[in-house]
Amino acid sequence: MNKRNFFASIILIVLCGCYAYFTANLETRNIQNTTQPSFFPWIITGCLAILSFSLLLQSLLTTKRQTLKKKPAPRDLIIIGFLISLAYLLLLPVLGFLGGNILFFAGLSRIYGEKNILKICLFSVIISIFIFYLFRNVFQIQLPIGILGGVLT
Amino acid sequence: MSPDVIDGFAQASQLSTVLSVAFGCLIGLIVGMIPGLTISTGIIIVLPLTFVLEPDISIALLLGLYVSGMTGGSFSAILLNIPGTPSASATAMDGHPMAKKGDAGRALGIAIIASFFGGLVSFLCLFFIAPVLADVALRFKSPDLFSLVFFGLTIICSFAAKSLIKGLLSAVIGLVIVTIGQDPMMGTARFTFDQVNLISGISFLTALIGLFAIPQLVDNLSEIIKGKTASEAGAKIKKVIPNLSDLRLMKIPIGIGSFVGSFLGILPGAGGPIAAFISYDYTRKLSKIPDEFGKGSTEGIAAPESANNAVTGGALIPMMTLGIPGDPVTAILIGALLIHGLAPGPLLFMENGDFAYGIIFSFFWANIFNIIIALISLRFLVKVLVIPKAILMPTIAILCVIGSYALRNNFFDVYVMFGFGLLGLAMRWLDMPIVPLLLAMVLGRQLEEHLRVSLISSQNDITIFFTSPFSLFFLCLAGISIFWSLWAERQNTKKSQKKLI
Repeated sequence: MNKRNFFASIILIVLCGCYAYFTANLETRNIQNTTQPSFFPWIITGCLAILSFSLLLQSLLTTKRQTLKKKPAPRDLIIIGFLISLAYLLLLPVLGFLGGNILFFAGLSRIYGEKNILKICLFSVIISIFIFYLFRNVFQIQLPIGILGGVLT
Repeated sequence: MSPDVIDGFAQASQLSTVLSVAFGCLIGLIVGMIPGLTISTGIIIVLPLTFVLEPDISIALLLGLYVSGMTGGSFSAILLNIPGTPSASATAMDGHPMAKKGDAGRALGIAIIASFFGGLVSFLCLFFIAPVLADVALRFKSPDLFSLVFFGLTIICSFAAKSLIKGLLSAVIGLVIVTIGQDPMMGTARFTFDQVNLISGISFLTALIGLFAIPQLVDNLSEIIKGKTASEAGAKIKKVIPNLSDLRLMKIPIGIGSFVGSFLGILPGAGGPIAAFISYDYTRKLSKIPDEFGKGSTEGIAAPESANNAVTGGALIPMMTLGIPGDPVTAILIGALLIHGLAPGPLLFMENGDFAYGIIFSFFWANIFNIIIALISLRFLVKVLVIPKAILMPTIAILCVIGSYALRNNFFDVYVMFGFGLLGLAMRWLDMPIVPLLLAMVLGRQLEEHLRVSLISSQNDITIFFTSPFSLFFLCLAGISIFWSLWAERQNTKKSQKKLI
């Protein structure tokens, strides 16, 4: 059995079930000789169901074990990266793009192997400020400043 | 000559447009040569810029990046034996052995010149074929358009995935995503869960940034190049212009590469790597010195390099005339056009003929600037390979966040982008291709609209798709592509089973 495909097919079957449930609850319109808003989603549901069950069948019949082509990235680094990104997303509306990006840059820079704290601080501040001003002042994209607003304006 | 052609040339030759092309070429060469960064990532980096620029300047910038990204990929393939882009993999087979012999400059020169000719041939194809095809496409009615889009999707699934089921599943997931938002016919909200941000649907560009950039950022955690540096590689570059005997040898491979690349570029999903390997193989079979292949053959560099650059012009043909993207880059180009209220397709040539020809001539300029910038700044450009990933990757991450925010000035899009990043990682883990999902997101609305309009006009008579000759033709092609893919998959399984025995 191909465990990865089996796992994928189960997730897709669940997704298909949820999608079918929401499709069945879509609003209908009383217009003659026309297709309803749920028409296309029902076709997709059918395709998704057929393909997911095909994958399930294929995974049960396959004996060959899948091999990964690339060397996988270190799991601990991925988890740390994910946590940094999550914290960044949650704090972004408060910290704004400038403060948030400096911290985000510093965190990622450390994950990508930079050990020199001075270099991390220097690059994260310089690059974040440069990008922020480039987009805000040159491209006129209103990036929120967040709590640093009082300091900068 | 049509006034649109003249206006298009004038538009593409304006200083601002030409400078934009040149800037795009410079970025493209840099992005292309850095292993771990693809052309799609390069486009994602400059994407926020295109929101504020005029449409012709934006497209010129993206075209410059597209064309030069293909050439840039060969630099690291030749110097470090690490292809900067997947399309440059075939170039490494002879480019690196030539560089190891001390002829790195010559190998790079051959690659640059072959890229130029490949691009030029595909420009001619684009210039002559696109308007004719657009003219034919104007006769298409809803059933024909539905079948055409359906064919486009099936062929992408066939090419993009090793397993047809997974390719089709990826496309269906894309279609599920595309149904979020307002129904295209009646405006009814679907799967929005009372979220105001979902009423206009999920932005294709936000999804694209997440799907491509985040898995690449994760990939780069494990891909740290050791032992080889660009400084060493740069020191090996001496004479860049190839000698006369090289130029003589390049004629046939460039011809083969340009033809194969332009043709395969037109087919959605085929892309640069396939074109490069096919032309490499054909050239080796036709060569008078086939033993040289793999040891630093001039023909072995010229064929794949001309092919991968010829793909660029070919891929623009279905994008501009039918609104069907051939690869992620042309899908992004469609997204960039849509942001500016311009829909690619046959009507682009009818309603905005000057703009359509402007794109074609910008593509021409992109090829001209590609060769100029590459030849002049080669020694300087290779130094970019020493930029540490600890600086490069966080910069890309920040640009991705700003890019997704800048689309609608909304934090919601940033969260959606990260969500798609996780989806991209999950799909990578499950060995499911991302490209069909992305292209289904571009084509999904058209597919639904044409299907429903056809059924309404025929009073739910499904035979309408088989009575129109165009529609029948495209459906047959879709069937062939599915069966061909299934057959190829079966053959591969048999082969691998034999090997195991």
